[in-house]
Amino acid sequence: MTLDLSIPQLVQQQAQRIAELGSPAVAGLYDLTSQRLVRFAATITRNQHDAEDAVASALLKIVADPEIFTRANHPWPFLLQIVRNDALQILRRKKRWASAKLAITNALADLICPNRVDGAEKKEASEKVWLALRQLPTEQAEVVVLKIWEELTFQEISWTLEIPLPTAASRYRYAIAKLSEMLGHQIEDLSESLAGESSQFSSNRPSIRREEV
Amino acid sequence: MRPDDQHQPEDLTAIELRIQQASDLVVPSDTLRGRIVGEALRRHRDEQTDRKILRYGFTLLLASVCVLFAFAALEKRFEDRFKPVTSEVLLRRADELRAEGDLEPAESLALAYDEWRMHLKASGWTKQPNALGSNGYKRSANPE
Repeated sequence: MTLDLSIPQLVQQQAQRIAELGSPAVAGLYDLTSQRLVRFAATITRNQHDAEDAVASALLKIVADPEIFTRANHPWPFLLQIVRNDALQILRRKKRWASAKLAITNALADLICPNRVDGAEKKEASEKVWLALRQLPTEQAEVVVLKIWEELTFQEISWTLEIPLPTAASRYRYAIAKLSEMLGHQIEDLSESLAGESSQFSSNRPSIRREEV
Repeated sequence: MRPDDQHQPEDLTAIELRIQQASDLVVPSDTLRGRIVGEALRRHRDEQTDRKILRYGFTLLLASVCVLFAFAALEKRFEDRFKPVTSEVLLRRADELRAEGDLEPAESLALAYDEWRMHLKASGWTKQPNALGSNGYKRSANPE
């Protein structure tokens, strides 16, 4: 049952499909990973348009040479690494527009957000998190995204970002400390509602893996 | 002081949960899928076309080589070359003639040689000077 598999396992499956069927099977990989890849790339580029360019560039690299992906021992962190490299490349190319980047750091106008059925309140809360993430240095924000949204271990994060494991862990600690300062007053407001939802939440969503570092 | 020393574990869990809940704020644009999958399909089509062209080209080349070899073999098969008689053949024929009639060795050899000359004449081969100036056998237009 595919529903029981984790993202790395599903990506591994897609890698096998690409190996068997060739580049057209990249559609399955896109459907599986696009949202995750775009939000990860957007953390680096701070702009969804550039993030999508990075994702397109990364997936087209896999289309051009599927073997580099299928040969990888850990396809999911490997894919994240390709996207990150492409996002950084785009960022370097656009360095002369650093001032423009600064201008959008404090806004989310570039993001494409779905019309949610659960109301504007949750969307507003999510936007506050995104804004807070954009206030962080990129190297800290990407660790938070990989740890919390992609549920990678610090070992996988250190491999993906090509940094030592303690560095990954300390970046995460610093990032969470800053985020708790930025979101702290909201946390207190939300703590009661979260306590009420926690039982439902824990049954519906995967829990965040706690790691000793 | 470590950055997380000032926070309680439950605060951190709440922050992590709060961040986790914001994960689905962003969706890829509608055009991104078409852009990537379209490009993938285009490249796949191009690859297939290249492979077909290569295969057909190779087959055509192979067929051309086969036809060339076939023509060369046919030409060789029907090539009308002058085949000079060897002394061994003449001596064997002379021996046969000597066995048939009561002939001297020289007579039978002359007879065998005459026979061969007659055969050449009947086939249209005549001795003519060639481009190098020496005499060579060529087939005449109207053999007798």
